[in-house]
This record gives sequence, C-alpha cells and structure tokens, in this order.
Amino acid sequence: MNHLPNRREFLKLGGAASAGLLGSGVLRPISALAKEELERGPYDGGTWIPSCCHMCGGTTGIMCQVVDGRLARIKPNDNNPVGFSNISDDFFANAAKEGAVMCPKGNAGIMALYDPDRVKQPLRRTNTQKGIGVDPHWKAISWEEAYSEIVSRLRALRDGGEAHKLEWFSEDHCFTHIQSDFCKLFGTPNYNMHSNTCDTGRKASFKILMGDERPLIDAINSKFMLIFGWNPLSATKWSHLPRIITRGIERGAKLVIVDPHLSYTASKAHEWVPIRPATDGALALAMAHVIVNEGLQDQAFIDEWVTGFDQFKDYVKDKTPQWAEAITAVPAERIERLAREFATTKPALVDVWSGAHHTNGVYAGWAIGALAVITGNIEKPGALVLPEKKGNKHIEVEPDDASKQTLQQPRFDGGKDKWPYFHSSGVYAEIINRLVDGKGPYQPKMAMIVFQNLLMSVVGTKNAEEALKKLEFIVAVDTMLSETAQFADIVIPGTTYLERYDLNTHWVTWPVLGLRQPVVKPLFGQPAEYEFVCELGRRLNLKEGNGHDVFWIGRMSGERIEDKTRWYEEFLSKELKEGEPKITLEELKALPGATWVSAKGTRYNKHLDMIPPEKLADALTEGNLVFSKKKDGSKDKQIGMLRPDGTVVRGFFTPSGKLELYAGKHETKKDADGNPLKLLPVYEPRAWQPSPEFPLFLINWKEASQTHSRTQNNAFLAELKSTDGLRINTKTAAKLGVKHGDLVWVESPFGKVQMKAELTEGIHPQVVGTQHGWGHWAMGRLAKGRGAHTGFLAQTKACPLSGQSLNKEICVRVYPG
Amino acid sequence: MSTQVEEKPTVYFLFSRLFRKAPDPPLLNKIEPFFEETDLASKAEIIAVEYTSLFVAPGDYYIPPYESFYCDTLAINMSTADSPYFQPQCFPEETKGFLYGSSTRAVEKAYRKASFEIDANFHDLPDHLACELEFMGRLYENHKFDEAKTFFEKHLGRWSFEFLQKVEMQTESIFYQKAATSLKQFLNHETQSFKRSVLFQKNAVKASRVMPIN
Repeated sequence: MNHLPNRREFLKLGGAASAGLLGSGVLRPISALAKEELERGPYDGGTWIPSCCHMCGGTTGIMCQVVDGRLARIKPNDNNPVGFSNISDDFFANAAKEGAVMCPKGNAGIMALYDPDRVKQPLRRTNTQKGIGVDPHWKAISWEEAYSEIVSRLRALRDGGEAHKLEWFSEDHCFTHIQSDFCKLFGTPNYNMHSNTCDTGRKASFKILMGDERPLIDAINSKFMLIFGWNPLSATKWSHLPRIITRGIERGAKLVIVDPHLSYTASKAHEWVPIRPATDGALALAMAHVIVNEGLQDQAFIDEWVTGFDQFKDYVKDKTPQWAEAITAVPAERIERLAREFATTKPALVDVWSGAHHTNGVYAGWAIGALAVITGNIEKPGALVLPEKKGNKHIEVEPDDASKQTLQQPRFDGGKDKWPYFHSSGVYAEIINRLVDGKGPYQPKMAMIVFQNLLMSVVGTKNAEEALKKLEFIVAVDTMLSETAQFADIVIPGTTYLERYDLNTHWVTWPVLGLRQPVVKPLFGQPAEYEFVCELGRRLNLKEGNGHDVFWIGRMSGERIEDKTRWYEEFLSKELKEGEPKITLEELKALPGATWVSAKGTRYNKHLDMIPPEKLADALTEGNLVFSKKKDGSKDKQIGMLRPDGTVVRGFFTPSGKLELYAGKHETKKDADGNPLKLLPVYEPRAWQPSPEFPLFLINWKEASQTHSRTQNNAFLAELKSTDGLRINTKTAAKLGVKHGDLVWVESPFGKVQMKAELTEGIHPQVVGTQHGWGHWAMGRLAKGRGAHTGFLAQTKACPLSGQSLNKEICVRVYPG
Repeated sequence: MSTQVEEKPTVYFLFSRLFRKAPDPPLLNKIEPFFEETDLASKAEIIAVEYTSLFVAPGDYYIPPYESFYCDTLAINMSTADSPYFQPQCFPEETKGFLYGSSTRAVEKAYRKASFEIDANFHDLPDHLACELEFMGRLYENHKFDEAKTFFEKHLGRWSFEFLQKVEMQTESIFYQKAATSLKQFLNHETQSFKRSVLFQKNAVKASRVMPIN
C-alpha cells in the first residue's frame, strides 16, 4: 500500500469481509459462571504440585509452584530419593533433615516451558529439497490434516506388508512403553531409543562382568572412589550424584578422577590423573597387575564368586605399570601407588561412564569393573551395588497376524544377530550407515522421530544428513524445531515434561517410583505424546491379535474411553497396580511428593539371597544354573545358581552364575565387524589413532549447564553459560602459535569447524576438547550459532560389541583460523 | 460517530482473522483491492508459507505475535551465582522474551471479565495478536467503549506497534508487510481517537466542575 489509508477505506476493508469469510473467531461467550469466578479465571491461587524433572534423563524429584495458572517456581522434592541419595538408609535417616537438591537445568525448566521458540502447531514442509541449511518452507496445518496425512502414510506401509519399513526413534524415560507397544501392534521391529548414544557401552561391560547392566556407586559409604571418564559432580544425570560423592568425601573418602580433561569433578578431586584418551583399559589392567602381583586381591571373595581369575591373572602378568605408562602417559610409580591405595582401602568403588565411547570401550569398562571384582568391592556398602529395578510393569501387547508377519523381518540395524551385546535401544549409527549405503536387509521408508536430534547426537553429521534424505517421509515430534526436525515432512508440536505424565523408576538402589504429572495444561492445546500415539493407533484401528481394542479400552475399567488422557491414566494405573507398588495412579498422586518408596530399602549382597522353595519347585535347572519357566514350560529368565553345598542362591546372572573375568561364552561369538570376541578384558589401541596429519585427540564432555544438544535454547541456562570453546593445553597452543581467545580451525578428514581457543593446563597436551551440544544451526534464537558441533568431524561408527555410538573417537589438526 | 464505531468491529475481526491463520483464496479475492494487488488468491499457498515463517514456525524470520514476549520481564536473583562456570553474558539484568507471562493471564482475565473465553479449538495463547484484536472488536460490538480504550492502553497498544514494525521490515514479504502497515495505520487512528476522547472527557469534566458554581 503506497498511500495512507483514511478512515473510510478501513471501513470499506471491514465491510469487504463478511463473517462467513472470516470464520468463527477465537472468543466464545461464557455466561453461567458466578461473577467472582468470572473475574478469578479458571485457575486457583498458588499450589505446589509434585512431579519429576526431565530436563535430562535423570528424573529428579521436583515440586512445581503454579500461581495464577502459570508455573512460577520449581524446587526439589524432598520425598523423592533422586535428589538426595541413592542408598535407602541415608535417605530414610537424613532426607527430611537435609532436604533434596536439583541441578541448574532443573531450576531452568520454567524457561523450557515458556520458550518462545517452541513449536506450537503442526507444520508441513512445502520445500521438497532437504538438507542442512535448506529452508523447509513450513506451512502451518491443522491437527486434522496432520493426523490424516501421517495415518495415510502409515496405513499404506502396513497395508502393503511393509510395516517394518517404519523406523521409530524415541527419547528415553518418557512414554517409551506406549511407543514400543505401538510399534509392535503396527508391525515394525524397528523401535529405537536414545540409550545407544549414551551408555550401552558401559551396559555391555557390566553385562559381561556381572550379568547386570546398571550397577550404581554407593559413594556415601565409600572410602576410596576411583572414577574413569565421568564428570558426576557437574554432568549431573541425577541430582543426588554430586551430593553422595561430596558427602562420601566428608566422611573420609578419597576421590581420584582419571580423565584427559580436568573436568569440574577432577578439579574437586584429591587427584586428577590425566590420561591419553581410550587407554583407560590399559591403566586398569596395570593396576590389576600390581594388585595381583603384590597379593592384594580379596582371594576369599574371588574363590567363591569369580570365574576366570587364573586366566585374568595370567593375562595381566605382563601388563606392568611400565607397559601402561607408555600407552596411557600415566607414570608407572603413580599407577603402582594408586593400585595399592585402591586395593587396601575398604570399601572402595570404581566406575566408568561415557569415557567408554571408543572402540576399546567395552573391554576397558570390563577391565575397570575387574578392579572392583578382584578387590571384593561388589554388592557391599561403599562399593558397586546392583540396583533392584522394581517399578511399574510394562504390560505386554500381543500383535495381530499381519503385524506378526512383518515383525519377523530382521531389525534394520542387524539387532542381536549382528551385535553381541545389542541393546534394545538399537544402533543409530548403523541405521544411518545402512540408510546411506543401501546395504541393509531392506530400505526403510518412513521415520517417526520423537525428541531425538539425530543430526547432533549421532557422530558423523554429514552422513546423518544423507541418511535422513533417503527416507521418503519423516515425522518429527518435538518441542523445538531441532536440526533434525528441519528434515521432517510433518512436525508435531511436543509437550514439555511439565505438561504430561510419566512413571520413573530408576537411578537409586532400591525400589522407588516417582510420578511425573502435568503441572500446567499443554501450552498450545496440543496432545501429550502418548495421546498423539493413541490417536494414531485409533485411526489405524490397531488391535491386539485377539481383537482387543487396546487403544480404546481402559486398562482398569475395561470400558471404552473416548478421552485419551483418561485412557492413558488407566494405562499407567494398570502398570502401577501390576508392578511393585500395587497402587493406582490416584493413590500414587496422593503419596508424599507423589513418590512411592519401598520400605524394604537398599539390600547388599543380593547374590547370597536364597531362592524360595516355591520358586524352585517351578524352575528349570541347567548345569548349575536355575531358570524360571515361561507359560509354555520353556526356559525363561535366570533366577539363581546351585552351590556345591546344594543350596540355590541368586548369584549373578552370567553364564557361570559368578562374576566373570573370563567370558567362556565369547569363544563362539563374533563382533559386528566379524572379529572373534575376546575372552578377557583386553586392551587394544582404539581404531582411530592420531597421525602426522591429524595429530590430536578430540574429546567432548557434558557439564551441569546443558543436557546433550537439547537445552541450548533455554534462557536461564544461556545465562549460566552461552557457548564453549576448544580447550587446548598451553604447550600445544604455543607450538601451534595459538593464543587464548584466538579463532582456530579444528579439522578432521570428515570436515572442519571453527572455534575459539581456550588455553589451559587442565587438558592432556595431545588432546583438545569441548563441551558437547553447542554449534546449533537451528533450534532457536539463543541456541543458534553459538560454539561448534564436533559431530561434523566424526565418522559414523558404533562400537562393534554394543552398538554404542563412538562419540569420542576423533582425531584432528588445529590451526589458526 | 456512531457509524464509525459500529463498523470498527469488522475491521478488528478482519485483522484478527489475518493474524489467526493464513487467508484462503476467497478472502484474498475479497480484500485484494484494498491492498492494491491483483490475483492474490493464486498466491494463497505462498502467503500461507509466509504466514507460518513469520508467526508460527520459529526460525530466522519468526516474529512472536504475543504480548508477553514484548512486555513481560523476569529478574534473576544472582546472589548465589558463585559457580566457576558462571559467565553472565546473555541477559545481565533481566530476562525478556518468553511466553505466558503476567500479560497472558491479565488478558485472559480481561476476556473473562467481559464474559468471553478462548475457544477450545484455538490452539494458541490468549495474548496472541489475533485474540487481542478480536476482543477489541467484541468490546466495540457490545458498546463497551471505555473497556475497549482500557484494553487498548493496557494491552494491545502497548506492544502491537513494536510487533508490526518488525513485520513491516520483512522485505521479502508478499502480503504481511502490507497487512502490518495497514493494521498499524488503523491502530494509529485508534490511538488518535482515544486521545480525542480523553480530551473530550477532560473538557466534559471541566465543564461539570464549572457548572455547579454557575
């Protein structure tokens, strides 16, 4: 318009648009309410609602204050152990006195809820081109349009006998059951979730060693804590972590951190042991050498509970501290001293987390765990403890015949056949590689990506980009337009954890279950993800094999329920009722802090538990192992082991029933690359080593200020820390001619990124590193353009044993930029 | 005067509709003469993408159409921020630019006070521009002129000019740059008319004070 409109023209404009053309508007008259209620609005005054955090996967207990319909404050929930302690004695005795805590991310949850860059309506891309930096040209569409298009795509797959060509990616610790149920009823074996980018390497290490994937540290009771490649005081997966460690220290424990980088935890430790990346296994083996050589092992414990000690002892015979010094760069005398201190201080604990993201990671984790085993520091106060993971029960669904057909197809990532320590979360790296090279058993056509940012969480970003381009149709469900959501054909607005339900059962050593519940309604009237999945199930008319209308029938009432929130509340109630708590959702809500805490408490030495006669009466015995039976009488889960005296105890759920330093079952197995599995926790140099061209190790880590690559748009967290540079040792920087604050190029054979140099003595001279998660090129105004994403420099490779994404196996050169 | 006021709701409703969702071809046909455009209807799809990139999908062109985003602030208590990681860089004093602040609740209350509530089928926030514009229209429609003036001063007039100015700066725009200019002109007229009415009221008050003496 190139002239100023006058009043008459406005009136003409108004008159031009009849009511029919304008639609029905957004405001509705209300009449039947009392005057007071009209003025007050639909909200109460301030109320505190207990829930569980999901700013990360730690699910810390929180209390949410809702004032006048808005979330005003989040504080820790004293009734939930995640936030105070993972050991029951301590929790019962001290939690009320000292109170729980939560981390900066938990405090910043309000800004996740009220982030202006949230996705608020379903979006459809109108640009058929896809790629990094390509504008999708989004068009807002109605929910009805979104549902019908997604459902017609899904229906075409299922009707064409191609249900297995749906790949489903999901976040962990939120509504996973209903998503995996959907996949099963739909007929795809390809349900995947976050864990394989996180800790499936660690899980494999401990599975081999003790038959349990998730031992936890009893830090409070410990006297010596030896931690490899983990930053628990800052990378606070659970808010009780910093506390149990610092309280352990207050009670006399010594903390030793082995890490190439002086992490926040290392800075608070008694000792920081800088080590060359991916050589932790060598250090652990040399420590074992010293312990065995000097007879410091717990022989009585080994004799009773360990398999393969002789082979292990033989293997470490030549793994001297001098041998390890050449590999790890840790001086031999220091290795000897640490080994003696560790073995002679009781109780002691040892652990490793994501430091194992390299090709020797699983064996290294096994070697590290072996230190606990030979010193008898297993299942004792102050040691590594196997948690009792008893919470809600996932009620299995039975697929119909059509789904059974496609469920027989192999998993696209190769599954158990390919990966000896395959985890049910799948292998993202392999999915990406196979999508790109087309060498999988078939080519998936559609992906449902729920809160997963594959482009930033799986190594080898350019490869991930190519993989996503191969898919015919992508649906992304997310609260943010992440880098991966930019590749979607349809984006569905997700809910934050403050707007939906979940049941949370892990992270402490005894049975505890915390409720996550909506503290406010979804901001944009969107369905919670479980309601979205339920709606898809309903529209696809998915039923169980026996015709049971599973997405309509309430699991408690047995009645057809239209309201999907109510339907899901019954879904959760049933899981609670049939699980360990044996209460309903309403009863859980009424408990203090909406948290169910088993009075039984933490139990140690669970391997000594006698198996009750009634269980034995209905069990199968094979060799010295005892198994429960399935309904058809076949062998089910391992429940115990026969001891020489004829008694049956629980033992450990390994092939020998004992802790395994030698894995006989590896004799016939191969890893995903076709190499025979090692029988012992061997050290082998990781595959990608520095070269003259790319002489530096590049590592990355997590800190309290952010979670993975998903919280960088949070205004409060940006206040804490808004970017990260490249940490370089001062000596290395001097050689490179780089000064503090200079821009440098970090380059690998796969790409290069520019970063700001941060000089420090706190990193090994052969190593450069940065906090993971920066370098967004989408997501939101605060996240975009801050720092660099090192995934561009990596290859897309998974650990050939566990399928763990090898996030830390990168070599680079650095030069002024 | 009465004719003007009676016509105002439709103008508000039209602009509310244009910012609530992208216009469809019949509506574009009807309004294109006013925008000195022809064949806008054939560009409906491009206009829908423009609408989405400006007001729906966060990205480089996104301009949040919410009062809270422009008006509400939060101060962070930094007294305990002694972490070695603490590097205040983004918002040294206060945080601005978030959703569902006190303004959102205040407008929701204003709607309810006037016996309106947000339709359950509208999947957005109460302080969305489309809601505030429609509410102004409803107030006029119900002859609640004082309430309209108050709402304009307390809410719509407080942020819409800043918002519309940002939209006007979108040089790639096919439609919404002009729509924003047009709405801004209309709201400017409104501001003027409210000022005039204040003047009129003040004079009236003056007169009433004088009268008893006389």
